[in-house]
Amino acid sequence: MKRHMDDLDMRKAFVQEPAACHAALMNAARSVEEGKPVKRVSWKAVLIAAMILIVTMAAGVAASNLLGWSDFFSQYYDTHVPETAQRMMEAEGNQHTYTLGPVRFTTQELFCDGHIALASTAISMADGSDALLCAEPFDPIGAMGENGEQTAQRLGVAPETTWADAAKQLNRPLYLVRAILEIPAELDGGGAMESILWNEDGSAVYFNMPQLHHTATGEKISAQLFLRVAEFDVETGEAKEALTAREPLDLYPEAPIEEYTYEIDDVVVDGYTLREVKAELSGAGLYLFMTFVAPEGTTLDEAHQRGIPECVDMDGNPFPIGISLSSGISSDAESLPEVVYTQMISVDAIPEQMLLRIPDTTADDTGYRQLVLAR
Amino acid sequence: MDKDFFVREIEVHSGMLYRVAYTILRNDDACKDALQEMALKAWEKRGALREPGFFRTWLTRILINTCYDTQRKRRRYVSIEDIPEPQADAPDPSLALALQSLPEKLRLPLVLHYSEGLSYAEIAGVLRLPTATVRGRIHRAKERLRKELDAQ
Repeated sequence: MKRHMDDLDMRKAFVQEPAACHAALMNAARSVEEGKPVKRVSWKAVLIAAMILIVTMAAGVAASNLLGWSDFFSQYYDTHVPETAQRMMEAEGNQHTYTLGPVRFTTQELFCDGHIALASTAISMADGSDALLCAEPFDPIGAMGENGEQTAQRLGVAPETTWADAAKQLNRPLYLVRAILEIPAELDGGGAMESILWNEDGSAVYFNMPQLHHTATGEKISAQLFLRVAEFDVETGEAKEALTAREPLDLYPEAPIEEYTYEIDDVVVDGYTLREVKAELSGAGLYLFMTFVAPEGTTLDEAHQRGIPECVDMDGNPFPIGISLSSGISSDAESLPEVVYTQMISVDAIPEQMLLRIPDTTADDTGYRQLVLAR
Repeated sequence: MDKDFFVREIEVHSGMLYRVAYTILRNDDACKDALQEMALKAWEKRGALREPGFFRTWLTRILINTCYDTQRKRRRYVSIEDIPEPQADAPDPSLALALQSLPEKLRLPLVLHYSEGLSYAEIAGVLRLPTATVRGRIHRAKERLRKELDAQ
């Protein structure tokens, strides 16, 4: 029997909130303590938790190749690293080797364009031994993707086996590793992504992409590469004392390849006045900055909740997502009522024409007002 | 925001919070962990909420992030034998089954809109997506849900 969407009550797909869940929630809520007023958290700080991801990827790779950002993006996010960025990432001089305890770290790829930084770091045992390397010991080896499943297969364990259990089964040491770019606080955009994949030879590749503050400029950023190694004790189920190091690592933001500001007349939508759309082509892709003036008294949260404007192609199709993997507001509360929405797309040139869709509560059933942007 | 307001609002929205958490985690134990953690995080971040009127969407965003954190910490690979019955006791089990069959990136905005009544703009704010993307995903979710239900 066909069922019509209009007749469906989506809530009937769920059981009533279980008593245990309700109790846990309310006990936690009641347990909070009132005290000194909480200092207002900046919007960037609220987003940190939202933007830090640790994922495991799908990537098939030949035995002689080390995995890199291209593998990461093309397999998991259906986007790609533009050739320009790939050449810049692999440039001579980007490879730095460090040894921390028994583990060797070698940066493979480094890239910075003033908006994001990317680093991939190969990790292996300095003495060539066959210890296991992972980020989280209780993650299943085969979680989320072909790379994990292939790794489990190479180790001869079931994909649902955790790294901790595999170390015990295989009687091999297990080291917890991490390699993170640390950006100076005043240049830090407040969000970062990190992930880990495994090569066929058992070495690991740690991927990290911090976002830079929108005011980050200059020829050099004095970052640090934070390295961490901790041996995991399979008997106790806990990590032993960690070794850490912070190695200076200068980043040289690549200048934009091209910039263009689309001419527009002031457009007012729901009280928000569109002032400017600026395109900045980087080796990593195209950044689109859409500047609005919000109604007086608007907060950043309100500006975000109204919806994020989006540029699409002239057929109305979304562009491939840019490798920053994010869109949103890049300006601060201090800039209000000016609000800058940012979108990154993976294209090799600034489009001659594209459509800008602005959320519009007065619009017809599309929910947005559409403008043509043209060079 | 004082504690009384906080506790009262959490109570009012507890059903919604459970449904959103279950949409992501599909496991009551995991939901329990995430809901607890969310309450504590929300209180800690209460200074970021300027308008009490936005409490629901603000809380939903914190919950979704917490669910993803919970997902990372728990086992993500579930063997066939471990997959729970998708809310077999739900008032509409066939709808529950069809909903579970959707990928999460379609399932979540669909639930947020049709179960919890969030607007496209609110969902875009909660999920940090362009509104057009939210609209597209809900459209695709409805299509797939319809096909699943017709096939049952």
